[in-house]
Amino acid sequence: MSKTMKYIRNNSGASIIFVVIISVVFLLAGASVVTAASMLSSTSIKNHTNKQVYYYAKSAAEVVSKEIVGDEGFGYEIINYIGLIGATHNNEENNTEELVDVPAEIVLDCNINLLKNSTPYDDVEYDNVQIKLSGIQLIKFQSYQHKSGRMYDVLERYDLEIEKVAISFTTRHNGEEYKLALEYTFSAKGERKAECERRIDSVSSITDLNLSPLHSKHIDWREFDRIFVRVHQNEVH
Amino acid sequence: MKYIRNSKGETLVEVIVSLVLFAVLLASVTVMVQTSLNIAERAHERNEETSQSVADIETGQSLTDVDNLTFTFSIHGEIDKEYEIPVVVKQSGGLKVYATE
Repeated sequence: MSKTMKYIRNNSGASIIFVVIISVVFLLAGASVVTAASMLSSTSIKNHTNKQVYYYAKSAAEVVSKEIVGDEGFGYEIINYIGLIGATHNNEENNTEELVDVPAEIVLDCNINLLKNSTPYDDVEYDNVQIKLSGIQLIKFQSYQHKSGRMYDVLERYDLEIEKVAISFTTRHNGEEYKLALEYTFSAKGERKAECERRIDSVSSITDLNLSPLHSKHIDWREFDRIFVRVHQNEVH
Repeated sequence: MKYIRNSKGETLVEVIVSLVLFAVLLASVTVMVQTSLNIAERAHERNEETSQSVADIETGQSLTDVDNLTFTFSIHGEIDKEYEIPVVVKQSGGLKVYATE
């Protein structure tokens, strides 16, 4: 009798224990599947966000690059800043060559904003925008030609070389950020002729007759991509 | 004898309870797996869409104009200058790029 009771007692609850064990196994398997699916989903979202922040950075870089070589764009301002534009000589010297004294390095803080109807476009933000010019050399040649009376012409030729123009900025989109740096070499060669009139102790009526456009090295986007990868490792150069 | 009969009843109840529990569990796990499959499928579709968008952007094909913005580039300090450049936002799939007009 007692043996029978023991036997029955051993059986009682066995099915529930079995179900509990199976339940734990199934739940673990289910949780693993859900976790794996969630990871897959978050990876795909992150991949999309990374691509988007990359294209926002690349778009800004392309717009800035076009702006540099525009007729009155940023490159024009660089030359203006260095002091070439409007600095026609008036000393009546002929056939002079001058190495103009310019800073070896110029660092400029900048801002980039995207606006939609004058309000910030909040899908993307740019900050830490900086332009660094280094290795600047400017040589000016001048020849003077007397015309008649107080009138004379000044012919200027200039040869500007900037070894490196580096533009760096950080792009932010959906919590992801991308640091990007672009490097250009920059050169401008050209000439202009100014018609001048000498009065008692000053020159007036200077008219620029020819100011050649700037030339910039075309960007090689394969190089851009290489820089991009380097920058992604937070090694902005 | 009474005790033995009662025990038999308990075992039957336990089996029924177990089957119910198992059925509930199976339903739950089925829902979990089904949901996971849906999530994984959406992730796969998103990856495919991203890849297609990248290909479209790189080749400049199948891009739709979606917005007109102003790109402002300002230089501070001694060169105090601001440039306002109109740009067009183009989209392929879920990815956007912009460029000058």
